[in-house]
Amino acid sequence: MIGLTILATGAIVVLISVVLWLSFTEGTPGDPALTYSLAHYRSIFLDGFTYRVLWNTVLFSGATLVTSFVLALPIAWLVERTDFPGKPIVFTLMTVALLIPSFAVALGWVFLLHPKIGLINQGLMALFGLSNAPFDVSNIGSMGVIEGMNLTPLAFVMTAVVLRSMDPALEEAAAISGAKPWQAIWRITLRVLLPGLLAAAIYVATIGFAAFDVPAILGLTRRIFTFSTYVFWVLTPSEGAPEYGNVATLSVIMVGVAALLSWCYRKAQRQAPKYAVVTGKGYRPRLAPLGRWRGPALAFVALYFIVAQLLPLLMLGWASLLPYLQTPSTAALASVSLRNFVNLPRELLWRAGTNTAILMVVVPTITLTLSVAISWVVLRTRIRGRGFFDFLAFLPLAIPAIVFSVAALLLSLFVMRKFAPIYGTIWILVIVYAVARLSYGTRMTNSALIQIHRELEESAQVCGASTAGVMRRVLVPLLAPSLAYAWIWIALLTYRELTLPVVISTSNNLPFSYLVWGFVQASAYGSASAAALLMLGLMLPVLLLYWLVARRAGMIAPR
Amino acid sequence: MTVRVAACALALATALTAGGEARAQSIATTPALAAAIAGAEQEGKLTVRWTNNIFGGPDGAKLAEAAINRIFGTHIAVEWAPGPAYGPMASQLYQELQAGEPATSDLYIATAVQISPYLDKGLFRTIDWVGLMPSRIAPAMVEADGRAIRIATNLPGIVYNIKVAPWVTEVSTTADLLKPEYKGKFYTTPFLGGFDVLLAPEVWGVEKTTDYVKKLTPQLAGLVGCEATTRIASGEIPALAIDCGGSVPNRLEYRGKGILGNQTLSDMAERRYNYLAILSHAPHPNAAILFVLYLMTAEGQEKMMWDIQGSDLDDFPQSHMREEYEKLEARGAKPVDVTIAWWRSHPGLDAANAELAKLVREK
Repeated sequence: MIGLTILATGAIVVLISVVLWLSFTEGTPGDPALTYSLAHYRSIFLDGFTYRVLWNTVLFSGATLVTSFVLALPIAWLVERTDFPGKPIVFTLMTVALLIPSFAVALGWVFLLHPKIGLINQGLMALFGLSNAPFDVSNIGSMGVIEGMNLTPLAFVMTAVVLRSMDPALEEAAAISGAKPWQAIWRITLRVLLPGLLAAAIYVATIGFAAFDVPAILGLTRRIFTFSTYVFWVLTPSEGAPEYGNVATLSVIMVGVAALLSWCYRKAQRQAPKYAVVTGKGYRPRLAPLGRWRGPALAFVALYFIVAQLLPLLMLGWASLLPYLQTPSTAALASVSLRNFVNLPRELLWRAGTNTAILMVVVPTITLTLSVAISWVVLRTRIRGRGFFDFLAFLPLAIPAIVFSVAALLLSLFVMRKFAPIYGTIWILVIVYAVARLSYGTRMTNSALIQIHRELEESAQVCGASTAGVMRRVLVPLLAPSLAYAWIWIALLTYRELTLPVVISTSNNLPFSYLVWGFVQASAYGSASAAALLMLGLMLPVLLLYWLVARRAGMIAPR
Repeated sequence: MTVRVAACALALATALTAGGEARAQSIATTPALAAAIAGAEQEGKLTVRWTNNIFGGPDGAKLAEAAINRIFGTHIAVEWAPGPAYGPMASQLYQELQAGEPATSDLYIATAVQISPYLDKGLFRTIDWVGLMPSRIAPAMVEADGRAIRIATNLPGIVYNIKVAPWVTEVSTTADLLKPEYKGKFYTTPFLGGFDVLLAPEVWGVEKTTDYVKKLTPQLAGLVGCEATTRIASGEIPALAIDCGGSVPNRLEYRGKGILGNQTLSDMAERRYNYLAILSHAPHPNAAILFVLYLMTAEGQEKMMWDIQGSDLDDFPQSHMREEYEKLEARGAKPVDVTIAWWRSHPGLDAANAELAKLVREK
């Protein structure tokens, strides 16, 4: 366990070291004329624009967090703790939601609420004779809300795990003691769930910090920069070489932010033992009846899916049939065809699909193996400085994926080439994806492990079980539902990862998402939508399989 | 071998003369070309990486593969994969060279701006292009001692949606863009494409250009890349001033449909080129040569460059872009020729342009 933890965190340290090294370089890495200076720090820290971008990002991330939790927490509570009908459907739709590319969601909102071409704006202007569009999505608040809706499935799965693990006996005890329902929620439920929720909140907020698609499509054109779009702007100049040094320096700022968030997380985690509710003394889950609230609850969940999922999917379908995006009209209908589907490069799709399939199986398996090891070392051992492992595992989340890729590219080209020639192979992607997903994996395994009291392992040890035996016969079975959740979600996150492969993909190892990203970058939204729909279609049998297996295991139709 | 060369010569003759009447030229399968054909056949494939909007991405690769094999009698596969933008692509290819890795793309497409910094670093092969196809390739088309060859001419201007932004036809100078009635109606690129030329001392110089960009910045609706063609076509972006090439409205998918237009500014006229270069560490250099040669045939210029890319090379007498260029000159414009030599004779333009880019990012 300790060996695996050192291996995983060591990989993070190496990649971050490369980023740090880059921040002191002037010129193109690999060039003999490369020099070192503090120029990037001077230019970044003395530039007022940097602080404006960071402030924008804080606002965006805040709006994202609030929106995703306002939506995800009630849905997770309904699914996990009440007799809400159709739970498997909610789970399945949440999973499908993660497969819809963010760019499609962003574009969907452009075509609904853009001042010039938005259907809703145009309709309202025609109806009421308005001279200006009443809505505009190109502001930080709206962008954050849209990103929040995007991240709701992620927040849902993270909070659902926490809610599932909580013993309702505590709430029942509060009720028996005369507490009103809201008092029980405030004093018992929320406090018991706090570490898990905080972990999820920190995670979602950090993803908001690094989110790219929505700010790029809705904000960049209007000169509203967030951290990710600013990094992208600096890293992909059409004129001249990329400014790796500046990007690395910006990433160093993010490492600082991540360190702060990680410290907050650790503080919350120290309270964990108080909240361990899966103990050796019995665990009796019970569901709250919704009664007359069943209708409003159904309406709330349905509205979320229609607005946040169905509309973008319809948008994706519409865009896939057109040569370029058009609002529905007779002229647009005349140009509808299947050309975008027919013209997709089949051989490349097959290659990319195969690579993606390999990634979707190997990455979650490696990530979760390493995550369990890290969580166990952090939460179950008394090794000095164990908190530092957790701190390191959190960092990949905050560093822009594209910067991680640059670091991996340089390492594979100039350091590993002689003993591990992985440049241009699928293995460089496996390593970078697994390292980048460690923050997600460890948040999930931490949350799950927090809920399992030590006394179960202690009992096993008293009965003579070794550490491996405790792990195999006690922890893993108890962690199985959470691990299964995490596995499928890491697989799905791997499937839709857009920016990690940008720098390290070549024609041999490119994953499907990069193919779609290529279409998006070229504004070939029709081809991008067609490819995304095709892959969504190919993923449906996988989802069905997941649904059947998970249902049999009692994972997606809880109680 | 003799039969194959003869068949190849016949196919080449057809390709060289396609798309034009009375344009028959003397055909010669030179020893250099024969060697390149034999080499390409041995290599078996060509690997190319560029963005989707270059040569139609996968569609262009398929078209080129069929044409190359037909014209040169080869059996090579053209494998396209999406790649990053010009700047980051060059950087990655250079790092591969430094590390001793084979290039992940046999060819590199860019403009003088991206090619120039790598000329002295050994990134590109020197090729005797004229010797390979003397009937089509003139010395003027070859730059940097054979390390880059022109494949298309661009006349950057304002690319606009004809229905949503008909006012663009009234914009004929840079001063017009500063008029209050156009405030918030047009976008520009984040890197201020096209404005870099103004920084040259013999054009406007740094001071005047900076002053102009400061006035231009509050006029802008926002920033968008040159690849945003479909967003302009949809009306989301009414107009892009200045587009990288101004050629998109000429593409077959938009040509004559009344969707997109290009308006060049008379006091900011530029003639820029797209170049192809073969990487020093290219694993399939001969196949790459055949790709370039195909583009230089009349068929390649018509089908790949004009129909798909929207621009051909104005060095060819019957080219569409020569016609466009002559029209521009007739309007009294004096376009600046942004060749590799011109860019290299103006050191510091990219750094000055980066400072301008900082101005436009402010709202």
